[in-house]
Amino acid sequence: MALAPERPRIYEGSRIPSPVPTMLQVPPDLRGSEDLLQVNFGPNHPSTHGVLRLIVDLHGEDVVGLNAVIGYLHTGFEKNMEAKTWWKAITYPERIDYLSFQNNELVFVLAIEKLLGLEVPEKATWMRMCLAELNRIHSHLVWLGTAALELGSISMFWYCFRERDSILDLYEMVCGARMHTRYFQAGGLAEDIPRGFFPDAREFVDWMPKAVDDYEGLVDKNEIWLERTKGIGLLSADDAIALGQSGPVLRGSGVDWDLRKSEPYLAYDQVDFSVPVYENGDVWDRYKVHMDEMRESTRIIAQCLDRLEGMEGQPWIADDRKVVLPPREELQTSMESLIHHFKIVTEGYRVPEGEIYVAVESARGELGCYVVSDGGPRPWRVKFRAPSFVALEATATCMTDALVADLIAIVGSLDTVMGEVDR
Amino acid sequence: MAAADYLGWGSRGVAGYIGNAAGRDLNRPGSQGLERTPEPKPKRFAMSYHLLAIPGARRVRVQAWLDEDEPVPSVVPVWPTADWHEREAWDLMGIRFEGHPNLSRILMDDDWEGHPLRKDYPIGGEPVRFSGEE
Repeated sequence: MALAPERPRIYEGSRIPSPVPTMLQVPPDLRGSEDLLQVNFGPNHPSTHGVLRLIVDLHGEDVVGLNAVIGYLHTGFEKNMEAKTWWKAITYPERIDYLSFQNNELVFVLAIEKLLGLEVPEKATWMRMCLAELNRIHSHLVWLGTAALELGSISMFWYCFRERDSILDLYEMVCGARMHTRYFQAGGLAEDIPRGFFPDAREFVDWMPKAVDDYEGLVDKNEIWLERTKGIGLLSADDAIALGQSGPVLRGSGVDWDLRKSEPYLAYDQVDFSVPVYENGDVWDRYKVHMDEMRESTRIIAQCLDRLEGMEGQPWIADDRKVVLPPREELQTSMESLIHHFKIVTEGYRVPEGEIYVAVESARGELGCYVVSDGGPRPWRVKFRAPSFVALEATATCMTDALVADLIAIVGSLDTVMGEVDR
Repeated sequence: MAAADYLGWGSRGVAGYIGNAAGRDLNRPGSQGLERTPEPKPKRFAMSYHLLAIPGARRVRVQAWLDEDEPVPSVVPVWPTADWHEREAWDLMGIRFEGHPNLSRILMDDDWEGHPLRKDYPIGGEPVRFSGEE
């Protein structure tokens, strides 16, 4: 089938630029050359996935200098969260990474629960896992659709958004909102799982592997796609680790590292799935990691559905009235429930003093949440370790010896969401 | 420890000085029957470095306490990934890193004044243009 040329082997040693590891500086012999052209790329450009600005120095078609400028979408989420009660702050994380929203919500809720020492019912754990994996597929689909669109594969976008829409339909059924669901509460879920969810989710699980085959059928033997992705944007395993990469970028560089396996949270140690790892560290391998992950996520969802279907009638949220809102119907009859409800909504609950770092594997890699509580009803400090922010740091290394046309493919393959980069 | 053994993601910024900063007293835990008073940190800022060793999946948190205007050595030569994290900590918290190759603002504008994530920088600290009062 070998349509594309042989791939160059991954480089030896380190290619991280020095002294600034995230900036490609024009080599001294080219400085002052008349052939040098500085081009401003972004912040408003259709292929920058939002508002990324790249200042590129070109020598002919070769990229010899690169500086990424971020901050155009800085909205001060972390500062805002300090001013909200814990209860209200849950709405913020999902807006940080608006494609992987459920994982962002999850990490913050897990952090609160750890500080509170709250036990979560089994049903909530499995439902969280189910939704987190659905969300991973959702995020990968948007990535695949837009990244392929930028490389000229327009029809891919429509296929991806077809499946994305059925995921959002599932979300709408469960949470009432298509994105930014706020379905995870400290202690469990906001509501019980609706009955219609299972047949629709089953239908999706049956369909999704075929859809992934469809996507691969569209581009895997397409010579343009192969030429533009194979051997482009090389990042060796050592460089990926030194640059703090995680998620598909790290696994595309041959490092077998997935928090779901290495530091299992939720119930990931009880499901059967494998972690795709590819060796060559180019755009093609990152693409393949994404495709395989969608298949694996589908397998996890199927196992979650098996478990959840046997849990009908079980509680979906912890029974701790100091933290969890009382059931709605009790407000009519119980004075105590009314008081609890009032206290939680107006003042919020208090979280014991402490600091904690919780990390989950979001669609883009290690999403960490560092939370400091001073014992009050509001977080003292919330800090997100955003995987996209770190992925963008690798741009300069990946762009070494690249052509200007590869820029689009490389930035696309790092799978960044600017909302998360800038927070 | 070799740099390559670690993913040096420093989750930076302030762990918190928990003291009597203006406005905090309203929220003292004592007001709801919780008697515990938080231990104040010895200095104003706490720099937290979250380090991870991939072999064995071990995590370490290293914390350095700093006073205002007290610089901290940059870790970029050891962990290149710290580059943007340190720039962010400088930008939003005003922590100076000695030996950082490119310590400039990253999220805020280059000519921004102040460090927004500090507790004495209020929400709404940014002047609003074309407000009703003009």
